[in-house]
Amino acid sequence: MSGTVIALLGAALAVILPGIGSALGVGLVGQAAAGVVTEDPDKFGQTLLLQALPGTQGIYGLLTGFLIMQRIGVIGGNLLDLTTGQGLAVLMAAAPIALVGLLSAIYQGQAAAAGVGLIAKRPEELGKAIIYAVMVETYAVLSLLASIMLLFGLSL
Amino acid sequence: MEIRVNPTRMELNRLKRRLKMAERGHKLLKDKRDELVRQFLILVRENRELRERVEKELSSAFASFMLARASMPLEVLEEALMYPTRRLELQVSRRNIMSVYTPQFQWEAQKEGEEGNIYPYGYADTSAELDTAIETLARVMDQLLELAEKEKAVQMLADEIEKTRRRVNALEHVMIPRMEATIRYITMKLDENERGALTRLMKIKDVVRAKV
Amino acid sequence: MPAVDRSYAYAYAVGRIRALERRLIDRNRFNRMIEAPSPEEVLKILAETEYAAAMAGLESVYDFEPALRDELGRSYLELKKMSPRPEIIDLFLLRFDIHNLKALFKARYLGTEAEMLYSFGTLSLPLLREAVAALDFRELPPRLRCAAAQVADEFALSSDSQAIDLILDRFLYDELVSSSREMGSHFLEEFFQKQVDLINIKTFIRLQRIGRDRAFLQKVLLPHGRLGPEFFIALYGNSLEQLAGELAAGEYGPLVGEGLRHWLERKSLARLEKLSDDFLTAFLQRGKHTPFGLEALVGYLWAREMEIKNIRLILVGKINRLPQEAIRERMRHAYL
Repeated sequence: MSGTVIALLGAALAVILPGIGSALGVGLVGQAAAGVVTEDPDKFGQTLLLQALPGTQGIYGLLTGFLIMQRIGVIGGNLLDLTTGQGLAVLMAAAPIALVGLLSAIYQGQAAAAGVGLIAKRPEELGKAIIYAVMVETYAVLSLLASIMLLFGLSL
Repeated sequence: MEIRVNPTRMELNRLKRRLKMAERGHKLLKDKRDELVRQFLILVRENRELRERVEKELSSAFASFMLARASMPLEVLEEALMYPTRRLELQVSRRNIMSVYTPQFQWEAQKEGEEGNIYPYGYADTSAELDTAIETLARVMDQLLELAEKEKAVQMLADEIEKTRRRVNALEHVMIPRMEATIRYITMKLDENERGALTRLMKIKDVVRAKV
Repeated sequence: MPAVDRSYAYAYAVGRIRALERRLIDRNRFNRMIEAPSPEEVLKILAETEYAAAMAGLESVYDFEPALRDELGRSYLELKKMSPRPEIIDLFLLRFDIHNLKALFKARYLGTEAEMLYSFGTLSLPLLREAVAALDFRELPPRLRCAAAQVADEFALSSDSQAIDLILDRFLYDELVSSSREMGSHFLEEFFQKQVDLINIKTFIRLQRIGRDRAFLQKVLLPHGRLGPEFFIALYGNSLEQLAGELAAGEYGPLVGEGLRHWLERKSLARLEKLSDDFLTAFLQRGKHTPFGLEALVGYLWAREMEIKNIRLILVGKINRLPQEAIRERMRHAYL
């Protein structure tokens, strides 16, 4: 049973940490955006786009969490009985997206908030502001990929 | 020219005295006028030189003041110059130029606060351009007072010259000719009276002689 | 106390400032103002900017000062409201309290009514007015209380009005540097220290020119600079080239070098004053790009100060028909 608990812990962390990161990131961009919109209400649409960017890590985390649940049978209804080793393996598989998701969401939030500052001054540069923020996304995607590959590679 | 006087000998004597006095007065006033004009010209020349100097200094002081004004908020400038460093005590006495009493200033700067410091403000928020303006203004102050003194004297002398000139003219063109005319008239009248009396006498003499 | 320099709490304020910065007057518009034929034309150009509202009510161009003052006050109070740490903006507002105090003290000793006070200091005007009228400073913050009492004592002793300014200026910069140190802001501390240094350099030259002695210099030098008072006192009385030489290798080298050259040629410190402001602008310009931090706020405040300085320079210049060159050489760099 202990292995199953560890695997569940992995699922929980995969959802929790990127979720926290995304919340922080989105919140930060939201604050900066609110500042800009106070002075210039026309910028709402553009800033909203930037605010959404750090939200993706939370989704990746949730996706990974679902995958784990599906793999260990939480969703199917018949919970697998895992060994401690198998449980740790699942936890490890969750680690990339959990950690990278947390940090990349925060940093992406910072980049996006800076982007908000950029479009406050130069609205025509929205594309560039998005690109800068999206560069951070790469690493969240890579870690999601790693987590998924690990999960599918495990034989449970 | 209507002359209403009693053509008497007494009146004639009185008029002759007055004429003499008028002539003397005329000469004196003319001398006074000439001297006044001479003094006036000297003063005007001095005044003009001083004025040019003061104007040059003042305009440079104002220029630097304007630059200070341009580089500091009005509030700061106002506060910086609020409290004077010097209090000027001005005493006015009188100078007699040809019995014109022109003012003469004597002034004494009393230092408020620290000895020899003409800058009443702190250095942190004031512009250095203010130093220049204050320095020039302090230097020009003495000259400015001197100029005021000279300017007033020139003005008063000009008034006095005008007044004297009018008097001289009145004496020369009105009073004296009129008195001379009156004297002539009285003399003529007296002479005529004399001749009348003489004729009457001769007539009486003839009558008396005929009766006798 | 947490560090104040950098924090996500500034995100909102920085966002707003980015939007506000767009409305600062740019170089092009300043150029048009300098080239304008009359002060009225300058006002017309100002009407296209943030200053439109403030300048609209002007009866004549000569009344522009209150409008500028109101604009400045509006900026400070707005920033104070949006800042996550309003006490930082208070630090910048302290200057206005000190100005009010100086004016009130002088008016009291002259027996007149103080005019031209700032209404946006940290302490209310009635409070200051009463304190100075009664020479009772108990209601003032503790450190200011000491300084005010010192002013009263000193004036009673010497009736020297300059002492009022000197003591309060000293207090102001002492307070600015020590408070920012207490708040743990290296950025603010460095900024105020640089300000102190630049003022001290300028004061050194000014005092040397008007021929004051070393003891007086010691009294006037502001504390907490990166260049200590000893540095200036040791050099006092020597030629100014020596000062330039000593500073040449440091960060102030270029500006002192050029400022002094101009001073020797033209007997005017205007260049040095302009370069000092530009130096601080350059230091603050790093705030243009920090996404979260105090720098952006301070940078914007400074930018506003410089903008208003430039507008005043242009308006006074135009009213007095100053040649364009004279205006241009005194114009502060734009922050943007």
